[in-house]
Amino acid sequence: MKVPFILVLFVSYLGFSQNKQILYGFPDSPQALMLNPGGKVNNRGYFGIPLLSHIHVNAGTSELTVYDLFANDNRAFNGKLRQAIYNMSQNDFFTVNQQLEIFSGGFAYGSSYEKDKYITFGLYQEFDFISYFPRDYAILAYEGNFNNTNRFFSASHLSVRADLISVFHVGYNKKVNDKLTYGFRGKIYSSIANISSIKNKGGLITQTGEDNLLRHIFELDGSVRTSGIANFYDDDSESDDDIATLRKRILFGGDLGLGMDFGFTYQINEQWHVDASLIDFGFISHTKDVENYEVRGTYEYEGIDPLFPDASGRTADSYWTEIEDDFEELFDLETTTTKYTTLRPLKLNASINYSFGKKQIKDCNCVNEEGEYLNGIGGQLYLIKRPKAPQAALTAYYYRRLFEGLTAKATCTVDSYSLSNLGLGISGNIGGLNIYAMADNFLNFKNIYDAQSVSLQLGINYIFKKNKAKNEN
Amino acid sequence: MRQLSPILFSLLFFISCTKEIDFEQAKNLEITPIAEISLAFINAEASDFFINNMEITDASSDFIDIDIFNESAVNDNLTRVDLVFETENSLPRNFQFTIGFIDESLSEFETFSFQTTEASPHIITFEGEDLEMLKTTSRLSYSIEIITGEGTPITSDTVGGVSLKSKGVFYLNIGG
Repeated sequence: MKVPFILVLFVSYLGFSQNKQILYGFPDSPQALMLNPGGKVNNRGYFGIPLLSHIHVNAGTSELTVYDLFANDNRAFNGKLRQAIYNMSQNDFFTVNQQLEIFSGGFAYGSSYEKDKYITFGLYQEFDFISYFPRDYAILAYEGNFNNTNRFFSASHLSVRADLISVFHVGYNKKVNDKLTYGFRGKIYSSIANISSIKNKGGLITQTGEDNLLRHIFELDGSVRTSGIANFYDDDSESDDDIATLRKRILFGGDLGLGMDFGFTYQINEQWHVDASLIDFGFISHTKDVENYEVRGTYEYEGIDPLFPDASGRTADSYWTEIEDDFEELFDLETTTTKYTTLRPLKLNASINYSFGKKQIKDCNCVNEEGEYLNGIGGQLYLIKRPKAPQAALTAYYYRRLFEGLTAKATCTVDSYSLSNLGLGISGNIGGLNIYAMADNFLNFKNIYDAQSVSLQLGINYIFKKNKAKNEN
Repeated sequence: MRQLSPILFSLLFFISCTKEIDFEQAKNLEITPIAEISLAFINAEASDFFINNMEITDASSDFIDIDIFNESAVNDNLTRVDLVFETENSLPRNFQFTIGFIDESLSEFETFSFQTTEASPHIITFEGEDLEMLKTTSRLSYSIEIITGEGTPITSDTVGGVSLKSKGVFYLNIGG
């Protein structure tokens, strides 16, 4: 059965979304500067083909795959579901990250003999989603509290965050000397919509009671915060209005935030260089169209004594009504419009790189000492801050100039769940037009439904190349 | 050809294989959670049956209104209910408990009685037609009554107590 690829992405989610290990440090794509504003620049300028300059989708799951649940293998679905629930922990997660560059560009400037400064700018849209597996909720729904006396069901297992934002950015890159290049980028975030429920506490437990067979203890402190969403499920608003609202929010009409990227590259010697960057050090202040839901309270319940309630002489029914009211109050969703702030998921990249092997000159059986190195190998580290704990990935790569204008990079990424995520990216130039495409998890491409993560980036840019003479400066 | 290569390579990225997947299986989703919830309890001491130097021999009773069966989420997915009653008695009298099931028109359509001399717990299972009848319950009445023909009368010196504990076990079937 064929299903739309996007559905697969949503059901199977993604492992280490946002990690663009192939694009990082890739010298032929202008978008590599988005991952390190202090990367080396080897062109005079570029502009992205609008809406096509950078398309990125990434979905991942730390444990469960689509194939685990939906394989047509004659095993009963409910058995597979049961296995899935019991195999996953509350630290397993599902992620989706998608980015679309709306426009982007860059240009070098400086003195006429050396343009050592570079400005980039652009606007992109990003969707980011992470949900941890709410294990205790799943088990409570699956088993109920029967046979679970004294088992504490933790409310904290619910941890979800989704962001739809647009980002306007301007970056500055400066080549200080032959060794050091640094850069930074200012970002203005405009949040179109946000849902976040990442600070839930408490839970519930059923114990053996004193007066009665069972005692139920509820201790709940949970909240879901949303911005930019309440308007859309308001039935009164016309869909035309909704579209107008969306358009406005993409262009700074949403909840605004500020952020910075920093990065540098240091050339240790002719063949070795290191670089590092910090991306999305920033926040968004959610003030518009805010709707938060809170559940808070503690309650112990053993039942009531209808015949001999207490000394106050209340009837059983009035006592019961009181309990019902208490319950309702406990579970009553308190809706507030208190503004809130979210931090952007901070990312750290670092790498060490070694270049080697210059082009052989056929005529003299010697190498072209003036030319560029044809090969590169290196190691990359990636860290992203996530609601429960940072997630990390390590990548080893091999980069190769295949022909004039055609380059490729192969990666092998290790993270806590996959020891063999193979990726491949290629970049080709046709005149000034640069096309790149990158994907990972090739080992799972024989059955994409069993992949724990799928990542794809592609884009088309027009690049103004440096002329050869200047390149050697 | 060289210029075509990037495009050909790009196309490779979109070629991936799949093994057979059947999303229709989700329609078979069936989960069967079991919830247990405290119901009423009764805790009485000798003094509760002894007023003005006289033993109360009439039944004491009261009721509570319940609306759990008005919740369609519960009603539609319920397959079985067990009501569990546990009695304890350290008084020299025997007691009879009666649980009455009363519908919206305030008519009592079912009662269950048990005595403290009987082995406890008492488990009443509602399935099928019995369950449908149980779902019409909008009020539960509880009463306790001394069985005057047995034991010795309670006096101001009598120590001990009588108790009833209860819970409901709700078997749900969602999906399926």
